[in-house]
Amino acid sequence: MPVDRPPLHRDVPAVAPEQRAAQHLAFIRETMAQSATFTAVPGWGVVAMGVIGLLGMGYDLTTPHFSTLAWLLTAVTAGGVGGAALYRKAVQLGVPLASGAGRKYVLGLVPALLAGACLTWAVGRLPEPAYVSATVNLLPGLWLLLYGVALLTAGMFSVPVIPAVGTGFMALAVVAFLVPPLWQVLLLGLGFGGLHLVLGLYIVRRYGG
Amino acid sequence: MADKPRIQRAQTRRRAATTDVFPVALDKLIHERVRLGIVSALAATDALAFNDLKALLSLTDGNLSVHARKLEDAGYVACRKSFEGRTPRTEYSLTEAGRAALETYLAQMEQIIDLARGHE
Repeated sequence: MPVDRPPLHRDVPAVAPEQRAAQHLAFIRETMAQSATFTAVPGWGVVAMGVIGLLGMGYDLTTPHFSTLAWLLTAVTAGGVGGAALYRKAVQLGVPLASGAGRKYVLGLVPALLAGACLTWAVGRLPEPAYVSATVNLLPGLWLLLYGVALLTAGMFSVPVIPAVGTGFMALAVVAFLVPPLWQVLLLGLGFGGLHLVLGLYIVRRYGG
Repeated sequence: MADKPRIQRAQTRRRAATTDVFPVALDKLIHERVRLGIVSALAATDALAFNDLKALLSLTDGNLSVHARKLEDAGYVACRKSFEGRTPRTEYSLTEAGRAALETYLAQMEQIIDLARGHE
């Protein structure tokens, strides 16, 4: 008789029924959480962000003091509109933002956006010649890159078009690092305006406004 | 080959042990862990592609096919086959019957827990 196995007591269940039931419920919950995707991305909200982004193209970053502030104001306005639309659609669909895929989506967005805010603040603290140079040459690419990273990360828990657009933002960022300042403003508009418009209209058509 | 009856007896004992543990009659079709995983995963989303479902539940192609077919035959899961370019794509979604079965199963699990609490 093997000595490395405990004796079998077939009449006694190894786990009590209620414990096993709790394990089954936990398994169901975990599986649902892993497979859930966040579908409450607001189509019209993203379109509105795109329109605001296109308006931002009017601010020429080669006059850094005024334009950086104007672009930041644009970003805050677009973020506010997008955030409000996201909340509204989530409430309409009954999708919680504080748990499950909604929470993962929001938590995916935040770190890269915070990193962008921190770096912008750091650039703003640079002494005059370095500040102008960094604003003109770095900020547009940096904003596009980190926003792309935010979308790519959050998109892992949402519909496939979101990470695809995130990759588009990152590609624009790479181009922005290579072209002269005036072109960088156009790329900002193309990204925050054009890509948002395309994304928003796609979401409206495919998943509803 | 002489071991076959012994294996069958062991499988029968195992099945009996699984069902006898619970004081309520469960839907055996979704009580099985892989099928429960498939139904749970599909309950949280509109549809899932074969490969996504396979990766999510860490299954092999054959294992997922067999269990998904059983659920499909029972009307719990709908299967849609299409082509993406030249690549075939199989997508599964939960039917109303499947969702109702999962809800019943969830209610039964909660009932078992409540019963145990009642005895304490």
